[in-house]
Parts: sequence; C-alpha cells; structure tokens
Amino acid sequence: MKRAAVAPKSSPAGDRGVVRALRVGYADDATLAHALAAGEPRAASAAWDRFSPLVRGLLWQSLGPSSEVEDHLQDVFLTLFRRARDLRDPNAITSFVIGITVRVARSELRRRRVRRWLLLSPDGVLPELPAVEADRATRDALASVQAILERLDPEPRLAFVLRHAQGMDVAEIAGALDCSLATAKRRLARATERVLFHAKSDPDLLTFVSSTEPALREGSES
Amino acid sequence: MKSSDTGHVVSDDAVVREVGRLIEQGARRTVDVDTDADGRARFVARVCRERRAGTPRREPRAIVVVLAAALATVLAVSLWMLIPRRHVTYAVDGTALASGGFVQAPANADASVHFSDGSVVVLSPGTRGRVREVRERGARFTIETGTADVHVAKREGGADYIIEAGPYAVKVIGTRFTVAWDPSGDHLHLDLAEGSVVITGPLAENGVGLRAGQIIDLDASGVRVHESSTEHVTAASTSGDAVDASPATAEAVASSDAAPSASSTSAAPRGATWATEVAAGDYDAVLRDVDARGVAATLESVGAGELMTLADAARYGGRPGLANDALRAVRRRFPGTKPASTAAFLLERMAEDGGRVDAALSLYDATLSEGGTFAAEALGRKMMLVKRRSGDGAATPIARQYLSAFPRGAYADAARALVSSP
Repeated sequence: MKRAAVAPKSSPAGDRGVVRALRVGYADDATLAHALAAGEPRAASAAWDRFSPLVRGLLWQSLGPSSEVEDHLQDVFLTLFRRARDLRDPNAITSFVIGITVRVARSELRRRRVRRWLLLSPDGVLPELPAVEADRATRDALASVQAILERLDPEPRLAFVLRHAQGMDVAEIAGALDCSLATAKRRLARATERVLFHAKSDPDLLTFVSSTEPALREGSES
Repeated sequence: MKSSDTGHVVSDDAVVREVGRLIEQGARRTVDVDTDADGRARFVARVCRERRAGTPRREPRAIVVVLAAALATVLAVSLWMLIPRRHVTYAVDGTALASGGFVQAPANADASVHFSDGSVVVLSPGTRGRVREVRERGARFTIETGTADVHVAKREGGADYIIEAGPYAVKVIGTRFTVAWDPSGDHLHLDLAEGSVVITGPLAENGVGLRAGQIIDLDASGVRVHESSTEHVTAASTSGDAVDASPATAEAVASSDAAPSASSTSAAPRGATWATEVAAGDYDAVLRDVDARGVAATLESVGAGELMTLADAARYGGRPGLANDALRAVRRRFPGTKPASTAAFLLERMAEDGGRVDAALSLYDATLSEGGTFAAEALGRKMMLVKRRSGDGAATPIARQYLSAFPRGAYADAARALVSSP
C-alpha cells in the first residue's frame, strides 16, 4: 500500500546543535506523527512509550513465545522512525504502526520456515521463554494452539491472529496485511478452516474448550 | 459440531473463539521494567546514531552501486578478519562476572572492572553495568543504573572506549570521570575530572564536548553544564527556548559564563576546538595551534579550561614540559579554583612519574591542604610513595590518616595492610 509523503515540518536553517525543552509526551497522534516525520529523537521516546505495549503484544501473538521479540520490537520502531514521512494521514499512525509490526512478523515467520527447511532448529523457532503463569490445563492448551499456529503459512496465520486475538474487522486486516479485501477474506477463511481442522484433531484441546465454554455445550444450547 | 472425548459437543465458533482467546492470553506477559527501559534506550540511541550519520534515502538507480560497494566491503572485511587481532581483556573485582559481561556491585561495597590496558571502571554499591564489547584499543561498557568512576588509561594513538548510559554515549580517549545514570528519571550526570570527552544522545545529537572540571546534567528538563568549582548553571533549556548546544557553543557558554575568574576573554571558541581535537586524539593540532600563537602568550591569555585542555594535549602528545608549564599557569593564575586543584594533582603525578619524589610529596601536601576532588587520591599516592621511599613504618601514620578519612577509598586495602603489619 503506497502512502503519500507528508511534508516534514519546517526546520530552521540553523537547526544543528539546537537544544529545545523536552516535550514530555505528544498530545495527539497527529503531533507525534509530525514529530517523527521531522526526525525528532524525542518523538522516538514518545512513540516507544505509546506504542511498545501494542507492538510487543502483537508480536507475541503473531510469533508466539520467542526470545527474539525484543529484537523485532527494535526493528518495528526503527522502521517507524525511518518511514514516518510516508504516513499519508498523521491521525492513522496506530494503523501505520500495526502495518509495520505485521510486516516484521511476516518476515520472521518466513525466516522461520527457511530455518525449518534448513533444519537449523527443529521447528524453526528459537528457544522459548518461560511460559505464562497459568494452570496446567491452560498451559497445555496454549501449547496446542501454538503448535496449530506453527502449521499455518505466514499470511493466513497473521490474518487469524488479527481477527481473533486483536479483534480487527476484515477491512482493518486488509489494511494491515496490505492486500485487497477479497484476499483478506480468503486468507482468513483458509486460516479458520485449518485451525478448526487441527483443533478438532486434538481431543485435549477440545476438552479444554468445552470446559471453558459451558454455555455452548449442546445441552446448554438446547 | 464435534464431540470431544469428554462427551461434550462444541461449536466451531466456540473453538475459534477460544483459540483466539488463548492466543491473546499467551501474549499477556509482563515485561519487566529493565527490559523495557533497555529496549527504549537502545532504540533512542540508534535513532540518534542514524541522525548523526544522516542515513540517506537511496534512489533505485544507486542500489546497484551500493550493492557493488557492499560486496567489495564484505570482501575487504573478510580479508581483514583473517588477520588475527588481540583485544583488551578484563577481570572483575569485588563481585562475580555474570554471563553477557553483566556486573552488579554489592549493596554495600564497590566492584571494579579492570581492563588489560590499565583502564578501570569502579561501580558504586548497587550499580549495575555490562561489558558489551571489547576491542583492540578499548571496550564498550554500559551503565544500566547507578554511578561509576571511570579511568581510561592513556595509550599511544588514543584509547577507544565508549561508556553508554541509557541513550547517551560518552566517547573517551584517555580521561577520568564519574558518570551516573538514573533510568527512572532518564537523568545522566557526568563529572569530568581529567581530560575531555564528547557526549552524544538525545539533547546532544551533534555531540557536546566537555573538558576537565566541567559537570553536565541531561534529563527531561534539558542540558545543564556547570563548572564544578562554581556549580553555576550555564546552559539550560528548561524554558523551552532554543539553546545552541553544539560543541563549540556549549564550551563557549561554559567557559565564559561559569567561572568568570577563570575565563579568557577571547579563547572560548578555540578552547572548544581544542577539546574536540583532544577528544578525537588529535593532540598535534592543538600543539601546532599553540606554537603558531606563541607558547608564552597562550599561557598568559587563555582561560583555565583551555589551559587544562592544552595540558592534556601536551601530556598525550609527548611534550611533558609544555604540560608542566600549562598546569603551573593554572595554579598561578587561578588559585583556589577547581582547575587549580586538578592541576596540582596532575603535576604531582607527573613529578612522581618522573622520579622527582620530593617535588611530588610537596605537591601532594598542597593538594591535601586545598581539599577537593583529588584529596583521597593524593593521600593514597603519598602513602604509597612514602612506603616505597622510607618503608612501612614511615607510611603507617599516613595509612591511619587515610583510613580515618576514606575508609572505603581505593587505597583502603593497602592502608589496612600497612596498619595491620607488625
């Protein structure tokens, strides 16, 4: 998706070496976007504070528990800083950040596939970090879901995560994946089909789901 | 619909919804403050480096040229890497060295990192740091939180040390300073005792040069440069007005505004240039400038800061006589100031290094009578000098005096050994 360049805020000729008072926080998205486009390092700090929880969460969801998430976080923010001038609508900076995050996650998923082919790592994933705090059944279910995601191709996997973990609608998914609405629908449908297929082949996961979804048990429904 | 082994039947929607919920739950991890702060600092530092480097947007046509250049570079680097090189090594004293070069000083004692070229980083109690990288002529050391005293040993051709604190980088050639980093307040404090350094980072993107006797504080409220003898704030941006903090102007503001009694009326821009040149290891440029202007005239006309920078250039540039003259000019022209105290200590060191024991002892006494930053170091060195010249018995009273005044000083162990010896 091509984005029109935003003219950077004017920079005085003698800008070198000028120190200004730090603006603690940028009041709104547009102000922050303009500051990033102008290359203000202080805007970098503000962008990190505002978006790192979102980006970190999306990376965790897309890539699973990986020790490389912090490195990918750096990639996302550096790309944001370098490409902020390409942002057409400064008010859409959140979508812009999500788009960059998705591209970084997609690259990593593709690299993992190559690593898997090259047998550098049994599953293409680097050593995992400690699991989240949860009971045994939930941890097992999380592991099952992670294994299912690992079986998906990068594009359908990201579409599924954006829809069912991030709660995006199809139009937003199309924007984040930089594809048409029809393509986003197709990828989401394929991902959902694959997830269901693998989930239904996992009795433990189904047991877990049934235990957490009592209202949807057949008896309850009737 | 699908029956599970438990006999429950679950809808497709429920399965998909639950899988989505599990993905979301699996990503709900707590990131510790240090990890986030470290990531933030890495990002801001890289942004600053890129801004300094002025990373260009490359035209597609230029990509082929860039790729060719990159290939040539890779080949050259590969060949270069085949040549074996020796990097500095290091050892940790006072605590254990953890993986990744991590060092944490105990809560109630100092810890120190000793490099094979003689450089030392002393971490105050509770301070955390990390040796990120060792190089041929130095190392990259990160202070994660706390305070450290840094002494980078002089070496021919200049040392290559980078001390990082949050998003700031302090480039060091050969000097002595104290640096403190508070990640919770994004506050950097650096007190430069000797030599000169260049600091880069947010609010100092083009680099701020500091010379001996100056203190800099950088935080959300701006940049403040003090002369350590006066504590007079000379450059601040709290008002929101633009303040030129380029190396030249920062130096000029600091030298002309901070210590009027120790300032020159005309030499601020030259001092700034000298400081930058010394920080870059170009001592000859400073010495050529002084020779061209005339040594005697320079010694009588420039300010205390410029004289200290000149002394550094002369010491590192192999002209100890000129260094001696510059330091004595500081003592004579600016008595009672911080630069004068620093000059006394450096003269002592030079006298001791030159084997002039009596002169060194006399200067140590002068430093001790003036007090100040170097009192502990002067007393410790006097103790060691007396021990070498006159034996343990003569040094023991000085050791007792040292332990009384500086029980946790750098020479405390040596002093205790003297006191406890029969």
